[in-house]
Amino acid sequence: MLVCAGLRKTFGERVAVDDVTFHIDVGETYGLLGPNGAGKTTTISMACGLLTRDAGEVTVAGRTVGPRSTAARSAIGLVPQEVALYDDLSAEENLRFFGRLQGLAGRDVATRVGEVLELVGLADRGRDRVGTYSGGMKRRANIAAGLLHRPRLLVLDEPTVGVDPQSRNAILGSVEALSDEGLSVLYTTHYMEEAERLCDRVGIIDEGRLVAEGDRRALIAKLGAGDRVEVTATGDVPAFVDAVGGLPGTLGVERSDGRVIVRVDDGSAALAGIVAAGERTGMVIGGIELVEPDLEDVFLGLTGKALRD
Amino acid sequence: MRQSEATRIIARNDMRLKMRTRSFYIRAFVAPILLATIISFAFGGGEDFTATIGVVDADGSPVSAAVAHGLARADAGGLTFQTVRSARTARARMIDGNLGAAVVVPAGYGAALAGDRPRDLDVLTDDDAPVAGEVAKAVAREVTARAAAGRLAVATATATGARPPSEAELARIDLPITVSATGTGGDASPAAYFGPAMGLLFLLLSLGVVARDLQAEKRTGLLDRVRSGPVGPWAIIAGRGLSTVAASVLSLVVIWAFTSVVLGADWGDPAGVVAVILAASLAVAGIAGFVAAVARTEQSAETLALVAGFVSALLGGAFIPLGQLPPLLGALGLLTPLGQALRAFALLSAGDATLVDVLPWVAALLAWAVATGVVAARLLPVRLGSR
Repeated sequence: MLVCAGLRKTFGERVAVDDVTFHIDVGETYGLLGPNGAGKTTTISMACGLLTRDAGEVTVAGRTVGPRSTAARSAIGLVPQEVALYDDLSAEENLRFFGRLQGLAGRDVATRVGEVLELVGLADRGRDRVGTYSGGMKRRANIAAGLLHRPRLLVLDEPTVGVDPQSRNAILGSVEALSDEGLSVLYTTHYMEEAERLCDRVGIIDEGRLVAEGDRRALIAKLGAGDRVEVTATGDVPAFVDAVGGLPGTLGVERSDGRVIVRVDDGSAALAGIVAAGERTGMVIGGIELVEPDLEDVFLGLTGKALRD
Repeated sequence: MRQSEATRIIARNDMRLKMRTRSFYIRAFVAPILLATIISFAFGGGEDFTATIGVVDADGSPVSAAVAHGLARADAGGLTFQTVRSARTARARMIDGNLGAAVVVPAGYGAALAGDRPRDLDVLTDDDAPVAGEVAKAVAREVTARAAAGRLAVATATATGARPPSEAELARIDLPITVSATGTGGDASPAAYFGPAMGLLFLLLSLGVVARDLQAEKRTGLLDRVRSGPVGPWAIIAGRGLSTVAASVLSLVVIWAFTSVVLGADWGDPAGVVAVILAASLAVAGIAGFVAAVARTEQSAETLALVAGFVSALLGGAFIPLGQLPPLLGALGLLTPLGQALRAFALLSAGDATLVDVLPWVAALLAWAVATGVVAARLLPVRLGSR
């Protein structure tokens, strides 16, 4: 559906995006995960033809995308990071305006406006001015505007920034529903949990470069960090550390803040052995927790910094 | 989608947004109508100009008496001339508000007129009645000009051997004086001048609105959303330009209707008025596009628009008619779109001018529209597009 190859963009001396290549299959949800300023918005601006690129190619549904390629852009539904709606107009008026600009005409405009308002749960507030909406409602209306013309690719640029947990959940639910209907989605975020919940594949972007790409399992496997078992216990800690270090499947043991952190290749399989080692060395175990690595760990492992840095 | 259709959709939406904003009504209708009404009443209650001007004969000669008598019979519309005993009395009556100004025939005037070194008339003015003062000065110039013409005739006659006339003979010569009592041209009412002046002033002061809105829409992603559809940058620029022209025309037409119906102003030949309104609105739209093209931020757009608006207002004659400005400033004012439009409106409201007479000014306004529009058309797509 979308192919981005070798995208590059500089602003003066600063390289905002450098040789970014990825593709999205039909019906796939692809996440661009990275901290603020990583180059996510610049990448999707080029992907949507809103920003000229210094190098690289973009095609959507087989058509080359550029600032003048209006036909190719019709296949894309953009949901900008900010709420891109007129506060002084009602949601219906906003949607009718953007629908007509996207080429909808006649009864199709009213029908489609009703459908997308229903989809985002705003059918009963469609005639109210957007300026009177809560932040979450505005975000949902923002998404509705991107869906009006039945795009083949929906591009969402951090759609949950600044919204309450309930609205965030509603937005994520809407994206999941659209994905289930077969819509291709490009989703940028710096929230690891959103990428894990929504995306079939994730591209990790940092300082303008795509540093890793794949599904969650593949990324974690690429990191090679394994699972973590965190043990809170009292007793002969050095003996316990030695005992756990000798267990099969143990990758490493370290002590941190009164806890013993055991890195293993399979956490579930290692739990019983760790408990048994504790009993053998006379430790009193106060707590034990199995932590599977997530995309945050992957990002940390690949870039040496946290997503929210 | 055809780009002309996109232009229409954008223009209609932009007008709808304007109509939802209270500040639009204030800028386009309320403020200019209010100011035009106040200034018009200050310059004569929106009706014909009236003033009383004193005439003082400090010479007491037959010639000065004839001049004073001529002035008292002057054909001057709303002007009334009153004979006053002395300059001191005239000054006192001006302070009391009974006289707007006074013309004084100075001592020795008659003898000087018959001799080699003729004297000018003196004029007493009051800062509180500037228009009456200007009229009195005009009267004095008229008398002096007639005296000079008379002296030329006498000199020509004596050069051919005729006897020079005595002072008594000079005094018997009738001096009919005609005074044009207006500062804006012809018999125009102040409302017919200050109505369009205030309307155009507020349109110029609002030049930054287009730039500010575009910058805000860029910041909030609205522009990206519009551009993400099958809409070219030309359609966005043309749509905004169209709505700016429509809003300007609407503003000026409403002011025209109000000043005509309520204040009794006559703006003149309707075809000419419509042509000037359209040309001025196109110029405003072009300049607004220019400001949007060169301004990098919302703040710089506002600043640029305010500077352009105020300079244009002061030079263009929004508050002081160009004819009352020093010649250099008056000439500079005619280079501004406001000055050009107001000169055209003044010509029309004076009574005799038609569409043909104001075509040069319409052309000048269209030149502004084209010049600024071309710059805007070249720069704005860059502003709207790549960063």
